[in-house]
Amino acid sequence: MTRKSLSYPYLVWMALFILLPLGLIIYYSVTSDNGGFTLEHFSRFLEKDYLMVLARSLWLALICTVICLLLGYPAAYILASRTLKRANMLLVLFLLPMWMNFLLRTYAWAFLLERGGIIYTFLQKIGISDPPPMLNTQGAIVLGMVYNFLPFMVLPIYTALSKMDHHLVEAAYDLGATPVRVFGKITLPLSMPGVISGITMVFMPSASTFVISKLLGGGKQMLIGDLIESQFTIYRNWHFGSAVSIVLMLFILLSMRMVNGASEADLDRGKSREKRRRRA
Amino acid sequence: MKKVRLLALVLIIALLAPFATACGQSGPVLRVFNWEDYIDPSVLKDFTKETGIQIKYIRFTTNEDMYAKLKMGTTEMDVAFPSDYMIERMANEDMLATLNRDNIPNFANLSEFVLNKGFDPDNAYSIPYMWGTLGILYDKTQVQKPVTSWDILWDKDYSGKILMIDSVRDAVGIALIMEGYSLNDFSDEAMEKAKQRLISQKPLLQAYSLDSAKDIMRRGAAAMAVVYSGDAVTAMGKNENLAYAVPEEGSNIWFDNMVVLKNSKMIPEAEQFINFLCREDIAKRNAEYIGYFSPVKGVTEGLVEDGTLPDILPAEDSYDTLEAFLDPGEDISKFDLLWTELTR
Repeated sequence: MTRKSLSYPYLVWMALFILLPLGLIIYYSVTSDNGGFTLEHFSRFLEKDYLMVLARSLWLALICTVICLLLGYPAAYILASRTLKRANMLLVLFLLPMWMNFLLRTYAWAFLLERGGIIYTFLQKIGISDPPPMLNTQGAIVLGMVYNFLPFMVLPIYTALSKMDHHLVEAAYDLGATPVRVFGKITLPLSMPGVISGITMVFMPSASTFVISKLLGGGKQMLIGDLIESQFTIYRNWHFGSAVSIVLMLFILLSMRMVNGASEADLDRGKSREKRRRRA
Repeated sequence: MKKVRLLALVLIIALLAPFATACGQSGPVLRVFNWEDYIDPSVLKDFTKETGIQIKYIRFTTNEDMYAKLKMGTTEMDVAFPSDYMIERMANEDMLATLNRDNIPNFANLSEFVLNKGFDPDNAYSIPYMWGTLGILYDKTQVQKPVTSWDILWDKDYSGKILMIDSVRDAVGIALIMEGYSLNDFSDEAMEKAKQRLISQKPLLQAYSLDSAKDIMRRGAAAMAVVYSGDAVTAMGKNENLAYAVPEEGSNIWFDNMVVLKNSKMIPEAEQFINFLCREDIAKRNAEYIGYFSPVKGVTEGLVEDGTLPDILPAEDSYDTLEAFLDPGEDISKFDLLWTELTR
């Protein structure tokens, strides 16, 4: 009873800032200007141009997530390894850029990448007379996303790895397992929860970002976040904007479900293999 | 146990507190809704000093933002500063009060040229505050050809060095003018031709950019950019190689006007405020602070003469080619489809 009452502020918070806005978005997405029920906003989204925008957003988010995982896992592994001195210091260095405003960080990349910018000049100095444009490309958008969201991948994996019971690893070595086998059988499975939340925390913001494509993509290629933003800020169509938000939410939920499902299946397979072995 | 409950209650109240608004100011308070950084702050103090009317000054960043707040009733205001097309829309939706000119004698200070535009034909609802043009800001060291036509934005010689404006209405407006239409022609035929124009331009562009264009130009990282005259003034003040031209085919002329909201309870005071801003010395201070063109006769010309502003005022014989935006109403969805296809 006492403990329960402490959760009320959070419940009020949730109702006000999560449930109410969500309800409003759903309400807007299925009504028209005169207030009647309609599904026209969803059917309008099925047009080719809009679907291409959605597909591009999900594709870039996927690439960003994969890169973050490939970069983030080894980084977290090194940070969590016990042999490393000053791991805390390194962790702080990793987080330091996040203390800076998101927009500033992204602007900084625009300065670095632009024609006549630092990287451009450097490439010219080392003999590439006419470097290809780097700013305002899809690559720049992905770079911006990876740069901004990488810590969201490193942190959960780092936490999972550093909480892992190290005796398991030692035991495996004692029983003669090779380092590769130890990693595949013990470290990786035990860090999976961290990997899953890392994937979730990187995929979601990169699928819905809208500033990065403007600043680093030169506004030439719209992402789904831009589409939603413009419906509210330029085209005065809150209904369509809400419907697109719902579609995006569903797609993110769906992909998260797939990630979770895959990892659970993985665990199950492991368990049944274990059983079979025990029976034998 | 009681303490824990009390704590929970206090936290809930703290959560809800921002929603309760306190009102306890003395004397009349005029609520003014203006763009970010769009007035000399000392002007507001002088108004209070002269009239005793306190001012509550609130800022917005886009017309749509301002409109949504007023329409939803989350923000109640007396005076606002919407742009041309938005004034038409607000007037159509009966949000604006008809102005009483007797309370605004300084109306006589305004130059004829800025009055009676299509979005508010008799200036029944709005009085100009600032105006400007849309044009091409270019780097004289990179652009040797004369900048007299919008055609130069389609010139392959400058491929990769052109910044098109990231504002659908302005970008489409330029394409419409080049196709020989009015920039307020929303017919399917006109929009289709404009779209083809913009699609053919896209491969030549460095980027679509809006707020960042003036900084990119200042650093010399692009050869030309479509910008509003106000941004051109800012950029030219920081890089002397830059110049600004309004093409001969014609362009957009934009206005930020002052209006009084219909549900205001202080309409006479609001008109007094508008009158104050139309006074020559006050208009001069604001124009100097903001760097945009003032509609008050002689103010901008004076600032150009003493070198405070670069001479980029449109010539009198080009007035006929400048057109103000009208509200597209339902046709706004055509712009959405066009831009999505362009940047999909």
